[in-house]
Amino acid sequence: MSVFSVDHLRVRFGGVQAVRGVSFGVESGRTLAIVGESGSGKSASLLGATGLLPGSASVEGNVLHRGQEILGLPDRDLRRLRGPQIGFVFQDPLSNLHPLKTIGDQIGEAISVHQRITRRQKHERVLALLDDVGIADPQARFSDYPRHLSGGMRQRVMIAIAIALDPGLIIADEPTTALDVTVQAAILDLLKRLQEEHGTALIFVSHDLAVVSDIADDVVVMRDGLVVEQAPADDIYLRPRQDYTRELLGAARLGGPKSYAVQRDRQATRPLLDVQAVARSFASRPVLDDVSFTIGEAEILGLVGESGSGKSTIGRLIAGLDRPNAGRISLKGRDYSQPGSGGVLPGDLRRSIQVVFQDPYASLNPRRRIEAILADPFVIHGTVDKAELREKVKQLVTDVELSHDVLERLPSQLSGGQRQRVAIARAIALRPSLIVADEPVSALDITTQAKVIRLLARLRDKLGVSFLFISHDLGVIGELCDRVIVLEKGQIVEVGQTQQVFERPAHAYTRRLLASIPGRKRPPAEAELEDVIYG
Amino acid sequence: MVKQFSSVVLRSISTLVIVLILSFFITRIAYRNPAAMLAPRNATQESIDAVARALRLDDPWYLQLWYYLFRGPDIQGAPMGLMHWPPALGYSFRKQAPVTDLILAKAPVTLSLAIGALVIWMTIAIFSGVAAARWQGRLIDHVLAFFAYVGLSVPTFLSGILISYFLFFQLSNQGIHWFPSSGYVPLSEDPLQWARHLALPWATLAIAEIGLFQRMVRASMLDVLGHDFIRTARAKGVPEGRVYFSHALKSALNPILTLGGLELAAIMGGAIVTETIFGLDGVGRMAIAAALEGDFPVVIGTTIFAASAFITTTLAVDLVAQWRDPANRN
Amino acid sequence: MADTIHSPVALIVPRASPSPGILLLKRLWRERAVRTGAVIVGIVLLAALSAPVVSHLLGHGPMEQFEGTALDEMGLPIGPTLEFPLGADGNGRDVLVRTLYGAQVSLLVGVPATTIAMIIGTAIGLVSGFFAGRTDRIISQAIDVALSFPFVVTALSLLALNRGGTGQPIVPPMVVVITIIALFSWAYFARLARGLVLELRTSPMVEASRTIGASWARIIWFDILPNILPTVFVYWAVQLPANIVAEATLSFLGVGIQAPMPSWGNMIAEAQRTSLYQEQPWFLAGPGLALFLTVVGFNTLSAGLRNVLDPNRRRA
Repeated sequence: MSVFSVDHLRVRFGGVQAVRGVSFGVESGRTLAIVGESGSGKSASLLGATGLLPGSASVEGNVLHRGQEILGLPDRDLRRLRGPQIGFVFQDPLSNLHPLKTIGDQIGEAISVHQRITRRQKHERVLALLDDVGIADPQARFSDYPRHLSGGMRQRVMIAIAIALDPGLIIADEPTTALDVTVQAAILDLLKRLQEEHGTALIFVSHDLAVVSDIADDVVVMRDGLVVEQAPADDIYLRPRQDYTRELLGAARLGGPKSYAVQRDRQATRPLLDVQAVARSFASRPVLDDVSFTIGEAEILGLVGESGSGKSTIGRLIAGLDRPNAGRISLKGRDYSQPGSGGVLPGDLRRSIQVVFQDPYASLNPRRRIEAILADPFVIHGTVDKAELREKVKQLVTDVELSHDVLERLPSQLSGGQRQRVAIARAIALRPSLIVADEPVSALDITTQAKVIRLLARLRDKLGVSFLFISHDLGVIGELCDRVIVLEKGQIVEVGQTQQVFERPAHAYTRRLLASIPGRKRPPAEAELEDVIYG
Repeated sequence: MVKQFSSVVLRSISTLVIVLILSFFITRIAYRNPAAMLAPRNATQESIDAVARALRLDDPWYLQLWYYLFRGPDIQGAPMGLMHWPPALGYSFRKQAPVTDLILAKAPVTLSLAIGALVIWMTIAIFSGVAAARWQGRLIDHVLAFFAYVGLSVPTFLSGILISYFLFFQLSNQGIHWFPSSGYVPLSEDPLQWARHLALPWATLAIAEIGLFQRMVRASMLDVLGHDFIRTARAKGVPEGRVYFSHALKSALNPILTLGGLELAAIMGGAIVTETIFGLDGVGRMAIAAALEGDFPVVIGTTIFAASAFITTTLAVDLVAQWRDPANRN
Repeated sequence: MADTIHSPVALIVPRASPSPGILLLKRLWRERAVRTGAVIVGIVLLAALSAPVVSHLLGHGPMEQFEGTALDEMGLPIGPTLEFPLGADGNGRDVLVRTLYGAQVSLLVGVPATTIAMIIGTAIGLVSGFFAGRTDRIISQAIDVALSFPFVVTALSLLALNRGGTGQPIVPPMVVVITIIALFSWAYFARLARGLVLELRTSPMVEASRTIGASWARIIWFDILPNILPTVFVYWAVQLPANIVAEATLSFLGVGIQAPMPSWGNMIAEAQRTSLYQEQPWFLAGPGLALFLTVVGFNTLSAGLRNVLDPNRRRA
């Protein structure tokens, strides 16, 4: 008998049907992965089934917990299930933990709301739980607040809350999405270990087939509120039946990049940008230390590192949005960034270096039409003729493969991918020699990511522009970049041709990063999968 | 944490110093000829000049600023100077008494009025605001919203008149003497009479504030209830009452504390309207009487007192907020 | 070239929409609080505009005393009659006409005072937030100082100073009241604008404009102002009823608009002081209800505007 199953579940928010009749179930000791992109209804179905959606949502269908119908149960009865029977782990552990309560209190509360327990017993059980989820020195961490912990530690606290009463089922909703890749690997190991020790059923929700590939026993693929494909993991990964599953598999980069950027002759590219011994610190905390590298003409240089490695700071320094404390940066032999104060980039250099920011929602002015946003660079640099302006803007839109009717729209009327294309169009408008792209695809859905990546590669070929491509995602870097720099705690630990770095990493940290790429145990089965997306 | 605290304290001190210096220039505009005001009514020009010399009024303005802030010549035996204890807020020529003494004599009335009203409005506003957020969009939410908007849209002087008319005049006409017409009984003398005398003024002040704060509690709660950590609490099986009062309210409290401090400070500086309507002999009533009869030292002294009360209260609220912030712990 | 092929995502674009202005008005009108508030505010405006007309029709000027017709033998004011629809006050003046003129005074003080405060405060806040550093520290300190003076008490001392040696005001009281109210509300606008600008100036949107070489003036005009003004305008609507009450309070205390010029505040004060409202309830109810209605109208309108326009609140 299933520990937990849903049957013909439907979830509606006002007029929006988020989940349109899905069925699945999970048994003790097994892991069910639910995979889909944003808006597929994967989270809504689980939150709806367990009564955690706000009252404005309506949920219909059947939800069975150990054979008992729980949909429509009064709040009191549902509350007795949450915690003792069903534990939850959510996506972003910072926003999911109470900012003003200590972690000891928050874990302890998970026990004390269901059991009568003395303060001392509670304290001891919390310490045992902290130890169980792999937090060193629990006694010292007990009265810390969430903001004092790293992302990985916070997620371990969330897991401690979920397993506090040893529930038969754990629902984990994108539990590793906000985490660095090495931390993600550790959290996946932890979940797997706990599941094996306690024989728990696990439902693991993710947008990425690669992440769940090592732990899933069964996989449900969802799209637009419906189940696309539901099968044992081996079938999904080796013999997918649906096109959409194949598309997701293609975008998932199981076990690292499937193909590397075409090798270019290193000698052929003349150096464009030269970064010399740059250092930067904020409030006497060093962020970058002795960073030196070059970018060649028409080269895409990847900069990879985990959060806090200083990779975005490098981007801001090169883009002239910040100044270093030491060292210098030059473009085509002209120094433009040195320690000091005041404006960084002189006018003619200003147009040579452009930026694409991570979040296209935040980098486009919400109150201006796309046409006005894209006309800006030309207006600022002297174009006044209306007709000429319009022609130039239309050409830009064509360059980034958008249709001309987006020009009349406001940013809020575009999808995330379209917005990022507009941001890219603005960056190429002044025909710069270098574009700093800071995590330009991280905010996008996995299938949209692949399309934007290909656009960047084509723009390089067509315009001869160089890119500094900053990302935490090794898979994306591997497919796009000619060379790659690995950054750890503000220092460069490895530089080299992408394929060489990926296949023969020299530094221990690089090896650890590469080993953490999810899906290593399930290399892509068939070459034809890639055709779906690259065809 | 010490760094955060000291920067907040320093900022309040600098604000206070600027306020005091500004008040000096107001006094220089206000007292056109203080020596003549102080001298006997039919004094000769010579004796007026003698008084001016004794007060060192012929010294340049920066020296006078020094006397004003730190230590100046005595006026009628009371020393001048804001920055010693007790600070001298000036001398009322009309009442022939130091302003500090006058204010300190009235302060207990205003303080009782302010603190009592604060306790009443905060209690009611928090419970009704949480209820409005809990049952958002339901009948109770609409009813509470209606009362809140009526409450915050009636100016204090209007609600005061209505309250005194219905709860005092009409009740008295019916022979029911629950509330006295005016006056004040110190808390130390008779707590019951103290509360009886303050009940109607408290209600007047609280009505407007409840409206404001109930809306604010509701908005702040709704904001916090949308956060992920509330869902975590529910996922742990925490009962709803605890979700609202322990988890949500704890996070929603900061803007409420801040505004509460501001309103409390404003009332301590003189609940002029309420004190006037209910005949309470507080700081505010003294200030308006002084303003109408041209007793400038009292008006300016009250202004300085009120501004200092405001700065102190906001400082206290800031420190509480800093203390609550986990960034400043450990 | 291959890159002219449109991706499927790019082709699915919603149809072009009407101008943002019309969309905004539609969104506003859909909010019930905006509709209710607009109707009430409309009534108040109409009342203010109709004051001279009603005065002419009834033949009663706002400051004229009709001791013969409006007071009875005991010298007490008469209640509502055909000639005096809301009765008369203790001096035999028409309460209806005075209440309608009171609406004019309220708006003529409240609207300019709030608008001046908004313009000055927003400009100062903009400078403070945008140029940061020492400028910001000095302006923030000035804002702190301005906010620490409690309104009524300080207004009292300033208005007391306005009395010359003879007790006659030196500057017209209405101008002083407008100045004092503006003096006390600019700091709220400055603090609001400063906070909004501080958040925006380091946003990706502004940095994106900087990287294409936009000047500071251009960034302020195109990126910052359009994104802070809706919130500032909402705050104007929030502050206006508070300032109308502030004028009424000063007039009630006898230091604002002086009789015989009609103001709701001094009418209510007179009704209370003489206790005549116990004989002639409209003497208090007329100006009282008018003031209440005005404040309710603007409060409702501003609450509705805030629901629609203020993104911070909308997220809640």
